Amino acid sequence: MAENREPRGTPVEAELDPVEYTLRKRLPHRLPRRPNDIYVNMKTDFKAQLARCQKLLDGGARNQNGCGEIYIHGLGLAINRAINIALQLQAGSFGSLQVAANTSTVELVDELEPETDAREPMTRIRNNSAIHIRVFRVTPK
Amino acid sequence: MSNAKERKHAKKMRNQPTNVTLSSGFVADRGVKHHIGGGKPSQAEKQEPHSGTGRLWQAKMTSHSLSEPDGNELCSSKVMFKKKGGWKAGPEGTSQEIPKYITASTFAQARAAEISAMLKAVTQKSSNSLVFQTLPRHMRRRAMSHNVRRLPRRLQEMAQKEAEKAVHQKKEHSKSKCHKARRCHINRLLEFNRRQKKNRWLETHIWHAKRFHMVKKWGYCLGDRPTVKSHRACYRAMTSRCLLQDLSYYCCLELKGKEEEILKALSQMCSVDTGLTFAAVHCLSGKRQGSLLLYRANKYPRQVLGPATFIWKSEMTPGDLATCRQLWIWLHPTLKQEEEGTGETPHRWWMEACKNPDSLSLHRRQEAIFELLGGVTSPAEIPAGTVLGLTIGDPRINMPQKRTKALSSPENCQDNEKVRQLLLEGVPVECTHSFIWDQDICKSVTENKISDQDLNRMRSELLVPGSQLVLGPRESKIPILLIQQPGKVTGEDRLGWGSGWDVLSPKGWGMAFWIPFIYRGARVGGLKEAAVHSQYKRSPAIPGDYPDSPAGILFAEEQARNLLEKYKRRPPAKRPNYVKLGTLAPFCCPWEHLARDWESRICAQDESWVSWSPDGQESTSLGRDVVRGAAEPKRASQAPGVPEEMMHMECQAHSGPRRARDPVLREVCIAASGTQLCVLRSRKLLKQLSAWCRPSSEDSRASQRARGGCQEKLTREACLSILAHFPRALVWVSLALLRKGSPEPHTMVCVPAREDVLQLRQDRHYCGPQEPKHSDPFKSKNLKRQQRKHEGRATATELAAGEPVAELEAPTRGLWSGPLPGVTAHCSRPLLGFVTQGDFSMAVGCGEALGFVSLTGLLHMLACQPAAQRGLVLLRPPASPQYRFARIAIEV
Repeated sequence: MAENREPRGTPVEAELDPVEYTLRKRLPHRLPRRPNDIYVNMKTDFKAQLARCQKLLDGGARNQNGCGEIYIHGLGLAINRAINIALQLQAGSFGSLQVAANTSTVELVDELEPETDAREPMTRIRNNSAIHIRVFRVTPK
Repeated sequence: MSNAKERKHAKKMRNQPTNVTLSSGFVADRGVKHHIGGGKPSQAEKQEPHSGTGRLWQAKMTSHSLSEPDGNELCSSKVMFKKKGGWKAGPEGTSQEIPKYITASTFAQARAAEISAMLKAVTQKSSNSLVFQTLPRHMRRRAMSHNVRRLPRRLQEMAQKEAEKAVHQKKEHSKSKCHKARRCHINRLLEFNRRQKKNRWLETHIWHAKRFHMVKKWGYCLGDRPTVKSHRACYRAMTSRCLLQDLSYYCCLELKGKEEEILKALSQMCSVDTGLTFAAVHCLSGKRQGSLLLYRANKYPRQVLGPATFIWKSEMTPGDLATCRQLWIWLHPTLKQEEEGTGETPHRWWMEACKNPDSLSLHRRQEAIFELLGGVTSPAEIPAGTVLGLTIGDPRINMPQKRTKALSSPENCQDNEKVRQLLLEGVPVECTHSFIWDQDICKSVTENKISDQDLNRMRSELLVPGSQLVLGPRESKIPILLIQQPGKVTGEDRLGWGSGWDVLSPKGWGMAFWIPFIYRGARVGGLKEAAVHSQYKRSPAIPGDYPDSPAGILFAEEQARNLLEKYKRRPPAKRPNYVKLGTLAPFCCPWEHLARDWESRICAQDESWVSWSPDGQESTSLGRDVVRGAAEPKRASQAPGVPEEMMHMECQAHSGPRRARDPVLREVCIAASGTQLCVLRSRKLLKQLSAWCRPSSEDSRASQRARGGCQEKLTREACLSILAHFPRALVWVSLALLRKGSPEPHTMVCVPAREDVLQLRQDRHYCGPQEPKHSDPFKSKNLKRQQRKHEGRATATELAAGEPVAELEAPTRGLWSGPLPGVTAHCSRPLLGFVTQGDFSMAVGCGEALGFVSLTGLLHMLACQPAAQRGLVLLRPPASPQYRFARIAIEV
């Protein structure tokens, strides 16, 4: 779901002839989602995503107690926004929320589709950074 | 009640002169005639034209037509009427109608005839309704149609007769056999076979017929849309869960033979320009499924047949060229007729079977890969068009008790090296092998299928009810083939949307797979859902979006006919007046007209360009100057000047030297320069156009990268060179609305005027200009025709036969009749193209449309627009004067 951007100026790109290959980006490998996982993207409105997280933490009408913790995932360009959301949540909670961040690297697959019959399709792997922020409730002292 | 009415009538008649009284009596006669429906009274009147009493009586009858004639009442009323009526007062001698004497016998005879006719008319029911339906509402009772005794006594007899008649009719209708016999299996099968003589049924037909609106299309009975409201649910199934469709109406052609021979024969039917062909390396090995566009042999870029997908059977011993290869080509049924003439040995397969998988190791490997697929959450993650062969057990045995939701469990989602390998490399070639390619095996699987009945009987004989049925060696082994569908691959957003798997199963197993799929949480869609899927994927729908193919033309004609019929069913005041709205063709898209108009338009501008070029040609790279230059000639083009032939020559002369420079494209050009319409499908050109359509922002580096660096700038030279090769071409584009509006099919794509763009820049909420009201040139003609009709009715000379002819001649009000004038310049904004699919897109959250625009027009528009606003167009639905802004994009 997160925005994945091409890293700039990789040496592989220079070798490629755009006449012979078309670049097709594949979706990042996705793990099954728990209800308290939130993948942040750059397309949805920031406020809407923030409200969604807040709602999960507060507990909607369905589950009264709400989640004790949520995980906010951001990939590539969306890292910034994920951090932003987490900090906004913390700032609006009067000290009852804490955050803990983890970073990781995600392997993304690019497919190179040949333009001519004689060539085989190729795949190449590029890495992109990701962030996983755990936002959890603490009892204020 | 009748008395009161009569009195009122008499009062009205009191002071009338005689001639008027008589004529009003005539009117009353007419009323009677009308009421009884051409009964005898008119005849009676003819016999006795001079008798005032007769007339009076008839006037009376208007109020009595339903009740039984009551002699006493009639008499009294007659007397009363004579007393009060104008007859006494009127001068007797003036009227020639009053006879001096009457013969008693003839008079009585005439009266007798009249009375008998009257009685007959009263007893006879004239209208189409049943007896109890003619009763006033307060006299109706429950179950009147069923029980005759609930009717008033005087009507019971008639009702009885009616009921008998109805019973009789029903009996004639009924089948020769009783219900039980008809439900008997063999008889049902016979009946089913009879019913599918014309339109074949799919294996899942009966399942669909209970839940879907069925349509007869392409020689099949297909489910159009579910009867339940499920538009959004189906959309959710498409995006995150599973939408199931029966695609067995697609035709499969099997080609067998030497590889080179097949390739040689088929290479004439496709072109390298449009993408990969049958000879692509990875498809040829059998590892992947390929897709391409078929053309009539050696006719590229015109005479497209349609899209096709194909798979080669994988070779067990690669490199051996002498072996016989097998190729399956999947086609939409609309293309079948054309295709069959051209293929080599086309014969329909329909599936096979297998008893014992001989190579167990292979089977194990395939199984392992299938297990791994459980760890892949979206089919879009693996290489596009991956083929996987499997041999599986009977799917009916492992069916869950209840319908469940498909949820991937986290424990089988280990992110290990094997999954990674699969994602990168795809399925190895050996694992694509399946016994489904072998016809004998398929046949035996079909024949040895345990019937549902037997399976259920075995289940009922189980010791513990509801426990797992173990068939052991008797369980059928079914070879299947899984083919990955990549979903949305073009464009930049929503990549991999709508990806999925095709499952090919042997014949006869359709239902055996269908029900377990549904029990595992799949939702079923019909043709409508398929159309939505292709629209959200922004891919052309099969017959409708190939306007240059015979199937597409047929489809458009049929659609236009249906829409016109629907339009005509409404009264003129309750339907849009397309003439006033300035919509020339609301039901079809006149592609030929459009392309021709733009060609002549541009040629007219070229002339003015020539005179202007000395200072303009140097500064073309700036773009802005081109804008100014092109905006001026626009005015010139509107004035009809040079005949089209000359313009065409002019155009040819311009492109002459450039054509000679490019020898490869010259042949294409010769092929394309004919008058026929074609759709631009050359990937190279489309890529270039797509780069030009994007608005170039300040971040020039990003746009440079997006264009791939080596792209040409949008100059007049480049445009002309493209136009020289494709003078009358259409381009497939996708349009996304900027703000409000949901486009519908046949929406017009127009070029915005400069002030529109300026206004949009000033006010972001500006929703678009409006089309001024057009005058209706057909209105006066229509009026005249109507007047004539009125006159005709007044004189009562118009024959009954004459009227329908006049109706046929009359043009439909609100539609443009006669040949279309210049399509492009008819409205205030020049027309660029039409939308073929369009709706509010739930995937994007705004209105989205797909359609074709004229290549000439598009290039002209792009050249005229400033770089920051490039690709802005206006959309206007056929029934609205409001234009809306949209952004054009070409996805390759």
